[in-house]
Amino acid sequence: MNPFELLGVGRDADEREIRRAYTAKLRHTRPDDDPEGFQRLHEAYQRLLQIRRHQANQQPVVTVTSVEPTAAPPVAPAAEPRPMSMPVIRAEPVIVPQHMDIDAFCSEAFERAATGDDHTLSAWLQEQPAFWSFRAKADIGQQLVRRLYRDEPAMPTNCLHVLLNFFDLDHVHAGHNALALQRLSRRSQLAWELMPEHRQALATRMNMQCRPLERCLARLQRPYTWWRALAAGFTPNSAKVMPQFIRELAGPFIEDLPSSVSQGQIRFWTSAGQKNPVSSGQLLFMAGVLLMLSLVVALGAAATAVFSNQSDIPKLALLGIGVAWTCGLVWVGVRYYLVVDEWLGRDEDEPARWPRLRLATIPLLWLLGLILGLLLPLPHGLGFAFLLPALWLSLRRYWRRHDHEGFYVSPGIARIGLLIAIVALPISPSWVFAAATLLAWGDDLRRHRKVLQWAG
Amino acid sequence: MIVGIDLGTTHSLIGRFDESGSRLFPNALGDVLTPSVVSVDDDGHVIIGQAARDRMVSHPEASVASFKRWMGTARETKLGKRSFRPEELSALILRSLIADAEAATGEKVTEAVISVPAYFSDAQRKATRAAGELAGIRVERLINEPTAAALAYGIQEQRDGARFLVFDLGGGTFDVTVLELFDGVVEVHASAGDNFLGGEDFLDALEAAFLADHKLGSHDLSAQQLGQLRRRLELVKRELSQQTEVRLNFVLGERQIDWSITQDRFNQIVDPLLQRMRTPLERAMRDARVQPEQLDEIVLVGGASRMPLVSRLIARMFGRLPMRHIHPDQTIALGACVAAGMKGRDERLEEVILTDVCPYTLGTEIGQMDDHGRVQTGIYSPVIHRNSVVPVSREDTFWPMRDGQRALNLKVYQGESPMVVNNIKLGELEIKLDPKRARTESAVKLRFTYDINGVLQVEAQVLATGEKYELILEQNPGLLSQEEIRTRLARLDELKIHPRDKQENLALIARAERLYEEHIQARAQLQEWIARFRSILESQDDMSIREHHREFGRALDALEQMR
Repeated sequence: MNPFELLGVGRDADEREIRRAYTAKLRHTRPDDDPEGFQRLHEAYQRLLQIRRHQANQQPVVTVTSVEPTAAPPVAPAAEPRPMSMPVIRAEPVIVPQHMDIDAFCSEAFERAATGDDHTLSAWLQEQPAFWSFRAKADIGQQLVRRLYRDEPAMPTNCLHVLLNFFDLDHVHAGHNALALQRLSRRSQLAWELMPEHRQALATRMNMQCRPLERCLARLQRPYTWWRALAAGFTPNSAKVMPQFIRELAGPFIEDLPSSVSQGQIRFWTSAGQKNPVSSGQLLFMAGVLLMLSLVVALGAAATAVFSNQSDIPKLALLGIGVAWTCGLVWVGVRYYLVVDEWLGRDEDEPARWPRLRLATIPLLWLLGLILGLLLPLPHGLGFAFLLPALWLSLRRYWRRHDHEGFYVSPGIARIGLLIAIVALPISPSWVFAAATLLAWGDDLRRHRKVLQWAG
Repeated sequence: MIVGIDLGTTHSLIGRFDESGSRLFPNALGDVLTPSVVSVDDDGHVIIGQAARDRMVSHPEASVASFKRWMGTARETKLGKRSFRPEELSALILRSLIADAEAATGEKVTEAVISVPAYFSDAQRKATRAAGELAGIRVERLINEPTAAALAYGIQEQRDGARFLVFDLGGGTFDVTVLELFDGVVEVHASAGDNFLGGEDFLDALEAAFLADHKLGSHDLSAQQLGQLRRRLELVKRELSQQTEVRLNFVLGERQIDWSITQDRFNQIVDPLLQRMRTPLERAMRDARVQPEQLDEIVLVGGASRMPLVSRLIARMFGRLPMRHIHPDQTIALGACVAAGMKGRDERLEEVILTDVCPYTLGTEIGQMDDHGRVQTGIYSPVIHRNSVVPVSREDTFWPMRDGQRALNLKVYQGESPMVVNNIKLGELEIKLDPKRARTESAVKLRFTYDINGVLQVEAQVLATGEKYELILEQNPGLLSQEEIRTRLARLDELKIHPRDKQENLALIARAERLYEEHIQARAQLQEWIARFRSILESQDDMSIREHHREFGRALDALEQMR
């Protein structure tokens, strides 16, 4: 039923008629007797009043509609299907005392907020005569919010709250996106804390001494270059200290750090501090450490050579450097192996990157091994180089993914298989490896056929 | 009989709607205002009203006031040997009021309409209902205080097509309501308020200033002295409404303290409290979409609105002098009586219809993914928006965050902050989901229903299966269960209460005991008077008791004048 019919008024009824009709109907649908009927009636009534008021507002030719919905800054709509409820702020003419320069006011408010003294800020706002007017206060509040989102001025959270609270903009109907508001608060706070004059406040929050804090910050504020990253390896414990410093500084919201901090540095350090997978930052840092070690060894050797005249010292130094670099490489290799092992052996219902490649890795290695080792007339070792890892990875994968179940092969078949393998091994180990790989991989797939996600 | 009750922070009133309109019933002392104070005497008798208020000075450890502020919490107050919940204390006040009403009419009170601050939360409303049950009556309706005030005012003034703002500053709570009268319909457009702002806070500010001036901490004073001080400061606060400067002589042990405070200084120390009133006023106006010049009248209600600085604040914000009501203390009670008359279907109120609003937002917690793919939880998603006309029922649909999610943890909140941590949690509910279903197919529909008494009901339905859940908000630890109410009712019935006809004498003794604390030089005299009055009371000779009562009262008056 449309609201006109529900209230029993004509399409051209004016506000007074609508009200009369509403009150007449209300006598038969009292809110305490007929809640549902009342709700329908009241909604229809509100709709009609809205339509009338909207039409009344349309009539004058000049309508100033300079109040837009409060800037909902660039937060992408959530990936969930439910849209955010964002009440639209009514477009209304801006009415502000004529002598008031809003931009200047906002700038002054931000300046005062940047002192971090919320009591003085609050007292200053309360004293402003203009804000005793309902309309002026509401309008200036809207403008202030827009400036806040646009400029993201540096101020501590308590002062931001004083501002929002004074203009009554910190509630759910003020038109903010909750995430955007949080972000604004974080950004303003971080920008304020990273100003040189507020070091002490930052040190108190992070529970740190000023000097180490100063050092860490200075590191982050230098622009990122590869040689700086390499040089970072000269202070090996920084791989622990710096990522922790960043975590405590900004939590997971590193993108909210102000531009005085180099995002390149942030990326490098978070990457260097990562556990898994092997990151470029870690590699670079490792290289830095090895470089430092080599340099130390080389210098030591040079020094000893100068003083003791022994001829093997350069050789020993070279050996030391070689061992260090080999260790580094082995470490990198092991890290990569662990990553690959984890990636391949993950359960099907856990998300994994590159699902198609993940599925194809073992068969690819297996195929390459077969082609290179058995079908082409190439040295035998080349085939092994692919078949052995393929076998190992497929067994590991099988093991990781079935550690609750174990191998379910009937003992008879297992015995026959084992016998064949023992007999065949000396004749052609490649074929045995290839067959075992295929078996482990195939059986794993067979068991996962229900949950397997083929699509990438 | 159905009565209207204003259960206030500092005073309570009772009345009903009869032939002459709203009529309030006086208590045993002949006053319609009964102080909301409960005291327990040495032999375990409960004392209520003025006598209890006097005992706040002489026996502060056995007396309690302002317990309306604790409604909805589990706080227990120890009085004598027993401890009481705020509901029970309120029930004792209600029992005393009901006895007054029954004495005045000779009819039994069975139902009541009780007024509550508009900004009272779900738990506070439920506690008020429980207090009614503990007093042995059925609470037919809870009416918002400013709405009651408007009802009383509107009925009295019979003005049609007028828009009002009711400014209600009571002893403990502050409420603002914008409403409109037309064709006998009282339509509330918006309410806003602050549950912790009232006359008591002004007194606290005054007390803090006094203590600071004399470099005293509140531990330096005994409970008796503090009670005395507060009583005297209350008088100072009242006098400040008329005089520019008020003096106070206070004896503190050996020390004789002379203190004076000017109106300017008072204005300065309570300025933070006044500033806190701006936001609710602005919010109510904004939500009602009304501009100051569209208001026809501003009605001041509540005892604390008598302070001139309140009128000044309003004049400053609205650009005009407020219209003052004749009995700011009684308006709400008179309105509650009208509401009781409406509930009782009084034919003269047949034409009056009231539509009220839900003053706060009700919603649930959601999580959202930000533009870096991080899920942030703790975001508040409103379902019923504040100032929706009640009764109201709204629904909204929610989805799980992830595929394969097994349950949806639904939390219901009340409040205005965009983040749920700053809102009041009303309850939670776990909804089982089928993990095999995709996220987009596991929608859950939530329905919030808020009725005219401010009771919230939450229903959830899993759309795919049609499975229904209902959230029971009773589980709040601050609330009494039905069973607890029954046992506590039995325990309250066991309490000894002085008979009504003895209360006048009781009040006189309590007053004399208070004066004993306050007047050191007259102590010997007072002690003798009290002893003599007690002995005459024991004689049970009505004639001489009455005569002596008069004399005693006059002597006490004279003593109080002397100061």
